[in-house]
Amino acid sequence: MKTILIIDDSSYSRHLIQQALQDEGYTLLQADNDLSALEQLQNHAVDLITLDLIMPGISGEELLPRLKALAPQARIVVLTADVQTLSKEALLAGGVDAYLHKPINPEQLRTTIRQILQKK
Amino acid sequence: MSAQPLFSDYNLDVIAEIISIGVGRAANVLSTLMKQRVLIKTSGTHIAEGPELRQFILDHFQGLGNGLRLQFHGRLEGNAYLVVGKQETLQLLAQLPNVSPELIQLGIVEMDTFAEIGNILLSSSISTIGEQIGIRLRFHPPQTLMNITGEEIATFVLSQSEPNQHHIGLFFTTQLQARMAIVEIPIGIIFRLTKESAEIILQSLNIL
Repeated sequence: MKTILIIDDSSYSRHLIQQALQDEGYTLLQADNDLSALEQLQNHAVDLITLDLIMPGISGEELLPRLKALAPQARIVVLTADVQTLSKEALLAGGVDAYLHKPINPEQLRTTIRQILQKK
Repeated sequence: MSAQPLFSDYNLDVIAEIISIGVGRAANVLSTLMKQRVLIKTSGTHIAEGPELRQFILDHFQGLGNGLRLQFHGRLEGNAYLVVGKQETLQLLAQLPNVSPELIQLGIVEMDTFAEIGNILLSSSISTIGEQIGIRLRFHPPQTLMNITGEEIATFVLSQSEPNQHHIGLFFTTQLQARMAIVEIPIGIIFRLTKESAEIILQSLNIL
């Protein structure tokens, strides 16, 4: 069973992501900040991370290298309200596997994650 | 005696997230205007009412600043505000291509350009909020105040409050870091929604 870590400061967004993925057979973990995310990665083998970019304190982009260092096997899907093409290009160049926009489209999220995990 | 909370923490989180997505879209607009990437850093979303909102504003804005108010209506009623310090406004405008730094320094283009950028930023944020909940929102013409103190900004933001009407203010402090110019520009985006409008958002999402 694949394990997915949802990193988002909004409990509402975490709930929507959880709802979108709950019937897909994944083990779903949640973190609402950088410290909680790093702790989850230390305690669990995570296959994929959904990462919000705009968070209080350390941003998702700043957190990314630490996530990759701690869980190099994990694939990363960015879920963000930042719709700038330049942001998308920068993050994809920085090693994220997919860059999706909020509001969350559940079907797009499921399909994207399935495809990424199948390739793994 | 403390007042009964209007909404649960979760309900407020939902409203904050819907508005946050709107602000994220606004950054895209700014990026297009500046022709460079805009990094969004936020110190968080604060939800406050009346006096608390005033205090947030005073805490964040010392010295002179500029403000723009865009009132929206439709099924949702509320106001969005862009508040930027005086020096930060000049820094922000200096990032724009095709605007002469000399004209900005002379104050010739400051008000018009600030008003136009603010209008674009706020209307794109509000439009995105409407799209998320399937409601078309309309706008009244924006109002701009230049060179005002933190106290005046607070009065500007709270001036349309009615004593018996509940409002929810969401305060974002967003730093815009234009990568090429290495300059951080803190700006405030504040939304004021009536209680009824907040309920409509939650109902639209099947949460209430």
